[in-house]
Amino acid sequence: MTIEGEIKQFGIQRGAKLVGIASVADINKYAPQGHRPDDILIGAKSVIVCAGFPYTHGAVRCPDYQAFQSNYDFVRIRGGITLALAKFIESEYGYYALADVPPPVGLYPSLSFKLCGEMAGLGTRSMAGGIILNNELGFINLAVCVTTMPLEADGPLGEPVCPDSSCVERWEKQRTVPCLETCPECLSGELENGEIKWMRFDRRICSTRPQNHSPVAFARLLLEASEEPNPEMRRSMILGSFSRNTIQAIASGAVVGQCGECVRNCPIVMRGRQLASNHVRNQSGS
Amino acid sequence: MFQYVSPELYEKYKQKVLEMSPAIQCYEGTKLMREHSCLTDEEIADRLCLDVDQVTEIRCIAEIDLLPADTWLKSAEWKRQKARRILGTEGTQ
Repeated sequence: MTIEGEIKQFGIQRGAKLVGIASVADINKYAPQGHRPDDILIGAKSVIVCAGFPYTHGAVRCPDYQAFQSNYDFVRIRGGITLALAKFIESEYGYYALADVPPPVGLYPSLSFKLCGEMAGLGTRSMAGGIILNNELGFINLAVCVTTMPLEADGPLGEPVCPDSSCVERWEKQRTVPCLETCPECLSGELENGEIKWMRFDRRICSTRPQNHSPVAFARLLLEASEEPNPEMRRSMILGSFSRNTIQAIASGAVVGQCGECVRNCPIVMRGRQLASNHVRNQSGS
Repeated sequence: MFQYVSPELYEKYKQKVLEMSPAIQCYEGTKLMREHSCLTDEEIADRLCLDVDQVTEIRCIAEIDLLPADTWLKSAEWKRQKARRILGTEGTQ
C-alpha cells in the first residue's frame, strides 16, 4: 500500500467516511494570503481532508429543528480523527502536522475547509451556498490535517456534482431548483446548459440560521436588552426561552450547524441519506 | 492588535466593509469571485486606506449590527416551520 493509502486507511478506520489529499500549492492558487495552509503551519505541503455525513439520517426527519444539531455525529469525532492523523504522521513519517486551525474572526475563517475539500477531490461547490456536495454521501462535513509532508494529491474532481439532472430538468421548466426555492433570502443563481452559470450566497443572513443559538445571537440580545428601557420587557428578553436556549447552546458548545434546510430536498443529498436497505425491517417488523 | 473603532469611523465604513467582506459571496460558475467582495481584511484595508485592525473591528460589528434585532428569533421560527413541514411531505420510514 502507498503512504497515501495508509494515511487514508488510518482516517477511515477512525470514523471518516472519506479521506482525500490536497496539495497546498493547489489550495494557494485560490486562497488569499493570510488564509493559506502554510500561513497556519510553516512549510505545509499537504492537507489531508476527512469527510463524514454530518448527522444521523433520522435527524433530518425530526420535526424539531434543534435535533439537527443535537444529532451531529461527525462533528463530535472529526477533531479526534484529524488529531490522530497528525500524531500518526509525526510519529510514523517524521513530518510536522496539526489538526486544528486558528478560530475564525467573525465570519472569516482562517482556512476554507470547502476549498480544501474541493482540492482533495471530495466534492464540488453547489448552488446551496457553495456547500461541497459529494456524489456518494451528498452533504458532507469536513475536517483537515495540515502537514509538511509532501503527498500525492487527489486533486479536484473533473465533473461538477451539482446540479443534479433532476434540477436541470426542473430549471428548464420552472426556473428554480430545490435549494433556491427553500432559501431565497440566502441563495440566488441561474443554471445554463446544465451547469451553474452564477450564484450568490448571503452568508450573513444564512449565519443566523445555522448559528441561530450562538454567541453572535447572544451578543445582539445583550445589546438590545441593555438598551431596552422597560424593565418588564428587559426581563422577558433576558429570561425568555430564546435567551435560555442560546445560553444553553453556548454552554454545551452546540452553536453551529443548526440548519440544513437548503439541502434537505436536494436530490444529491437525499440519495446520500438513503438507509442501507438490507438493514431496514419492514413495517410488520418481521 | 485589538482596538475599539470610533462611532464616526464605524458609521462611515460599515456598509462598505460589509459588502467587500465574505458576508456576500458571488460565484461565476463555481468559481468564487474576489474582485469586489469576499476580500480579506488586509485587502479591504488597502482599498479603503484603513488599518487592518480597524477593518476587522468594523466588519465584526457590522456582521451582527446591520441585521434587524429580531433576525435570530425569526430564523428560529422559520426553521421550526420548515422542519415541521417534513411530517406532511416525507412521512415515516
